Amino acid sequence: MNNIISMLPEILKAIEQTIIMVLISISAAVIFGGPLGILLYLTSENNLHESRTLNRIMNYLVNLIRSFPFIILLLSLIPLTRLVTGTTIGPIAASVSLSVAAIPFFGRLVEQSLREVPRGIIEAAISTGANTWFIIRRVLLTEARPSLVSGLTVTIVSFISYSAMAGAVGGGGVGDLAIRYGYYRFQTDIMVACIVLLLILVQLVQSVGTSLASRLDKRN
Amino acid sequence: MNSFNFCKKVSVVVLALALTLSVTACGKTNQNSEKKNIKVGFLAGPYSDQFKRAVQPILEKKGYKVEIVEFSNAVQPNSSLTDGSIDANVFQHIGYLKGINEKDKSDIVELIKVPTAPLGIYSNKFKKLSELKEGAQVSLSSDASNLARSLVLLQQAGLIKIKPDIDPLKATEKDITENPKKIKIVPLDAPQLPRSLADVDYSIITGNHVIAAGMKLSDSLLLEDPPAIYQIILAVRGADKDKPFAKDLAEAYKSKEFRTFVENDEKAKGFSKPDYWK
Repeated sequence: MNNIISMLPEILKAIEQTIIMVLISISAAVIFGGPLGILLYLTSENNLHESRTLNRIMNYLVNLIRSFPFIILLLSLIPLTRLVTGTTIGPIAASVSLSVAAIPFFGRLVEQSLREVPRGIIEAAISTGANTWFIIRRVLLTEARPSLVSGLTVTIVSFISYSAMAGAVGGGGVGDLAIRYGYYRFQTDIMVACIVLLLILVQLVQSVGTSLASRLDKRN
Repeated sequence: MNSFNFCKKVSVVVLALALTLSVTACGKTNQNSEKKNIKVGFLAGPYSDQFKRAVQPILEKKGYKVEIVEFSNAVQPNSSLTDGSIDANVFQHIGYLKGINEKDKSDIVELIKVPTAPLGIYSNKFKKLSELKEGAQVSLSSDASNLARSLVLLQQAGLIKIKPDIDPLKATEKDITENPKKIKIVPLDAPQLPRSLADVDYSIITGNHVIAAGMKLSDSLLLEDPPAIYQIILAVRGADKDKPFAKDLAEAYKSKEFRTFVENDEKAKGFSKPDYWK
């Protein structure tokens, strides 16, 4: 317990670092991964804007990034990180590779959510002469809302744990603290404290996500 | 960090990602000669802990603001030093550094050697190296330079022979020419080695991980006497070699205070002394 109390300043700093990393990568996931998912859906076979080439290129890129072991992705993105942030250490720098990983991750989930929207509803909208933009906003995104929220929740929880690996690039954070003290220094108490913190964070995100998704679900 | 500043940072990064413009969110370290803020990089473990407890206070007395940056892989401390994210590091021996300088065309130089925790052979199952049975499992570090170093130690112990013309920093299991006891080499991530003692017959562990695991260097069945190439160094960018901050860093490590600390600290027992303390 004394150990944990003496570590308090470090733990607080780590919490801040984790929050920075998760916020930035999730923002990137929503801003870029969302549209990516919509495009993946629209350009797929027999869909509103079928485009084999575009769909293939996007699928290929998504699969490429998603098949990287995360630690290798972190290291291979060092040049990009330096270009964007001017440094390779700290939570902001680690957020670059986290974002690159989060965009296709969330993009895939968005694509899957949209696929679950019943065809009938979309056909009905098309027959009323609605344009694509209207269909995306008023039909697809509205119908898929609960599933999109669940997808976002999964993404946030995954990236809380991904951010632990970002310690490898000096990103810091709670998970990194657990690795540095638990794995490298054999200080189980600090490790347990970090894991409890992460657990609380994950529980919070998951329960907010679940309740929001079920409130948005019109079937309840 | 106040919330406004934080929001600014977040939006800056998101924008930068969108436009892939190079934005300097966190300014690079200023390169003036009156440098008073220094960042020193380590791998998590005893070198970092010793610095925090005994070297950092000396520097702070001289008016420096010191930040410790800990990494959990051995690639980053050098690349971060090269790009100016940190100003010095203490984690590697000169052989490893030479390899990096060649590979990355970087210019990182040694200032001084620091007290080093030697590599040793440990066992939970046997009291002596001579009890080693045929087909024994021996775990060792999977990273290139420590793997080679471990093989050299096995050769010193007379258990294997490696190619005579091989670079002692690049030898791998494939360079073993004689293995009469048919030892099975098990390469593992270094922090895993102390934990592997329950499963293997012997383990060759670098001193920093021995100490981190709460074991003693004196438990070793065989310790290497680290030759100069395996002693841990304090390293800086070539351009900073003669800067006041580099001199002060080296002086803090050489100081009587730090020496007294190393000689009396329970966790520093068995560290090899650098030449300037002999």
